[in-house]
Amino acid sequence: MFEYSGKAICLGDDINTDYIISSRRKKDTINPDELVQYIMEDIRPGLASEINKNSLIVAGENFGCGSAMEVAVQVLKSAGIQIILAKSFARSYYRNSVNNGILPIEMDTSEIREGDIVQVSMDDNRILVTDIRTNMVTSCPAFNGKIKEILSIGGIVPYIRQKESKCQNSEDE
Amino acid sequence: MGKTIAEKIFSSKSQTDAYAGDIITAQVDYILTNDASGPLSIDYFQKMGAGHVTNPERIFAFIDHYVPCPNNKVAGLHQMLYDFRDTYNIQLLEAGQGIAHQVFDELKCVAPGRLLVGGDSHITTHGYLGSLAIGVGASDLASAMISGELWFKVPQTIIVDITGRLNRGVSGKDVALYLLKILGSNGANYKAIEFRGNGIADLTMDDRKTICNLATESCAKCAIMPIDERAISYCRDRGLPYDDIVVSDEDCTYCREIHIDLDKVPAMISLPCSADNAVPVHEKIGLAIDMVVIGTCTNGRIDDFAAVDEIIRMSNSNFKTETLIIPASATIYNQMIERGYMQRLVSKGAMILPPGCGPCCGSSPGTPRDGFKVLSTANRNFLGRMGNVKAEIYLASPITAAATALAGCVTEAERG
Ligand code: SF4
Repeated sequence: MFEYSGKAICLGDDINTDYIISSRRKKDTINPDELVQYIMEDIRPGLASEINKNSLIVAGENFGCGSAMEVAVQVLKSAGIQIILAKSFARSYYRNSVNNGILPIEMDTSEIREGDIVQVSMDDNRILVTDIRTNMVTSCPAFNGKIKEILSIGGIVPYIRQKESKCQNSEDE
Repeated sequence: MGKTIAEKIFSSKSQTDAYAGDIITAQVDYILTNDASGPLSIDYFQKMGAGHVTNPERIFAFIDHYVPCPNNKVAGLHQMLYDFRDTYNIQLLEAGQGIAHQVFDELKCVAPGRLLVGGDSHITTHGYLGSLAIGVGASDLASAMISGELWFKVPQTIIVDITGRLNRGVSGKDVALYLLKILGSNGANYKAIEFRGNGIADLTMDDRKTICNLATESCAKCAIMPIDERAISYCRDRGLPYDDIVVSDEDCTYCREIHIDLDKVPAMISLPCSADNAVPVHEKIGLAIDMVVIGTCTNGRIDDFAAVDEIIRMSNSNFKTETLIIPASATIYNQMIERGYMQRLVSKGAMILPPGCGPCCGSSPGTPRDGFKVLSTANRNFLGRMGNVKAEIYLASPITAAATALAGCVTEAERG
C-alpha cells in the first residue's frame, strides 16, 4: 500500500520535453540538480521556486512529447516530484518516468484545479486518486508486469543492479 | 491470427509469439547514441554498476549535436564519450562526421528486419528500410548496452495506404506533414505506423527516410516502410543483407487505417509551434521570412540538396534571407562539392555549417534573432526550439525552403 498527498500544479496539453527543460540550458550542464531552477521557464516562469516534494504534476494530453531526453524526467525528480497525473503521456516520457521511479498515472484530469490537494493511494489491484476540493475519486488500474517490478524497486538503476548482482552471485557459485 | 510487421519483428527478436499489448524482452541488433543523450546514458551505466557492455561493436556514439564543440562544459561531455569508448571499445564517430541518423545508415547498421534502439527519438528514420527503430531514454539505453536486450510493449499498428503519384514540386517532406496533419501531435502515441500501397514506388529512399523521421512528431513508436523493388536494389547496391524481409499478414489487425492519395498532396508548411499545425504552402505565400535553414536529420541528404540546386539554378537572384546550409554528413558534404552545389550555394550568399545538427535544437550556432521568422527543413518548431523563444519557426521541404530563400518570403516553387 502506497499513500501520497500533494498540491496540484496544473499544466495543459502537449507539454513537450523542451518546455519542461529547454535544450539551451543543457549546453551548460546536464546535472538535474542544477537544471531544476530552469523548470518550465518558457511556459511557467517562476514555477521552479514553487515546486517541491509536496507538489504533484497534473497535465492534459500527451505529457512529455518531443525528444526522449531523460533529463526532462530527472529534473522533475530532482525537484521532488513523485507522481505525474496526465490524460495521456508520450511514450518515451512514460517509459522514462517508470525507469526513474516516478509514477505516471493515466486518468481524466480535467476537473483538477491549480492548488488542489490530491491524494493518491495504491495497492496491488488499483490506484485511487482523490481531489480533496471536489471529493472526486478516480480509480485507475494498478501497474503490472515488468513496469510494476521496476517501479516497486524504485527505478531501472536499482533493478539492473539487483539483476547484475544475482548474475554475479550465480557465476560465483 | 495474422501479424503486423512490428508484431513479427518483436516475435522473432524475443523468441515468443508476440501480439500487440504483450510485454516482451527482445534482443537488440544495434544501439545508437549521441552527445546529447550519451553522457546521460553513461551516468546511468555507471550507477547500474555492471562494468561491462554486450556487443561493443554494435554500439555507436555520434558527436553531432554540439559541433564544433562550443565551450569547455560540452568539451567535458564529449570527453566522457571518448573515455567510455576507450574503456568499453564501443564505436565513436567524431565531430564533423555528421548526424547520427545519417551516418548510422551510411555505416550499414540499418537493414530489413533489424531491431534498432537509440537515445534519440528520430531514430524512427530507419524504418525506411524495414528496420524496427525505436527511440528510448538514457536509462533504457544503458540497460540495453549492459544486457543487449530491452523490454518493450508490443505496439498496435496504424496502417497508412499510399496511392497515386507525387505532383511536381512536392516531396516526401510534404507527404510527412500532410500525414501529421491527419494524425495530430499525439495521434500515433504508443503505436507503430506501417506503410503500404503502390504509391510508395514513387517515393525515393530519401523521401522514405524523411517520412519515417517525421513520424516521431505524431509520437509514433516506430514507422515502417515495406521492402519493394526499389528498396531491394538499394540494398543490393550497398551490399546490405535483404534476406530478412518481413511482410505483414493479410489477416493481421490494424487499429486504424489512413489513406493518402499522393496526387492530392500539395506542398505543405507547418506553422508555429507544432509540426502537425500544417497548411498548404499556397495559403501562406508572401509571408516575410528572415532566415532559412536547410539540413537536419529530416532533410539534409543529397536528394534534398539536389532539389535545392535545381531551384537555385533557375534563378538569377541571390538569397534574400540569412541562409544556413548543413549537410547531414561528411559524405554528403563531399558529394555536394563534387556536384558543384556548394559553389552555387555560396555564390548566392549561403553560409555552410559543418555536418551535424546545426541550430536545429539550439545546440550549435545559428540562433535566430528576436522576432525572426525562420523557415527550416527540420522536424520541430516548438517555442524556443532553435534557442530563442522570440523567434518563430516554420517547417517545409527543401524545395519550398530554397524558393523562399531566393524570394525572401514564403513561395511555392515551380520546378522546371
Ligand atoms: S538534426 Fe535536429 S532533430 Fe535531428 S537529431 Fe539533430 S537535433 Fe535532433
